[in-house]
Amino acid sequence: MSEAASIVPITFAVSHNEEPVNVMLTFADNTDVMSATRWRVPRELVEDAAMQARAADAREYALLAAKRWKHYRDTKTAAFSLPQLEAMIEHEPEGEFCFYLKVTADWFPTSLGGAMVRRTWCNHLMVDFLFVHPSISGKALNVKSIGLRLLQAICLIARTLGCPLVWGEATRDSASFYERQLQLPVKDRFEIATTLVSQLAEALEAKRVTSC
Amino acid sequence: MLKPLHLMTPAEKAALAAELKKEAELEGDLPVFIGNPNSLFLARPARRRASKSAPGKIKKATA
Repeated sequence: MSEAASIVPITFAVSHNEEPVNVMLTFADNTDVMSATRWRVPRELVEDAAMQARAADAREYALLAAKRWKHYRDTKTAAFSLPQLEAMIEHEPEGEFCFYLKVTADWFPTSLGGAMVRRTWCNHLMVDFLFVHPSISGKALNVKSIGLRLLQAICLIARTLGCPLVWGEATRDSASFYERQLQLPVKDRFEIATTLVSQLAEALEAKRVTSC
Repeated sequence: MLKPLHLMTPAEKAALAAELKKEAELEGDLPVFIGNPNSLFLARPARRRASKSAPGKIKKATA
């Protein structure tokens, strides 16, 4: 098995109702991406306008990520596995390629979150979208750390591909999250350089649950 | 690396739960979003430049 093939999927524990439970992060295929477009705002949030808005945002991000992802799928520049992404880069070193990560669990019917990421022409990773399921963002489902693990997984992939930088756009709501995670001042843009990429990748490896 | 949850002792599971709780506090009360839904680029992704094909010999068709 190649090094890339052994990196993803990743099984790790997250908190579900304050109890540790296993989830799995892997590359998504077309069915997975389209499945996220059928996410709905949970009915139980109808009384809570603030949580309903957050859940609606999560749904919108999943829809936009799928819309954008389709462009890469149709131009045959979307990768469905890490070895495939490596092969695409080897074939076209300055090509722009896209991949979509999903987090799933056998106790939840659809994905718990996802991220649409681009590997740019100069071998940086750009995080276009990172989001959790509307039930999580709306707090109808008490699951924590999906977003953090997705960010760490992107860094693990960046380290594997030798990408010196991971960057993305932060919204007004999420800037403080990145400030805390990266311990850097963040406004509308964040940059994760090599040292921090390695640290975040190592943090995920430490949390990885063995399969046997 | 951690051992599988089903092989953990109750004490190990409790320690992991405490660790995850601490991490969740650091994550904060945020929906964790990246990206800008208002980006025009989303509506119209950039066109990819067609890759140049390697020059090859042109074979004449023979009747």
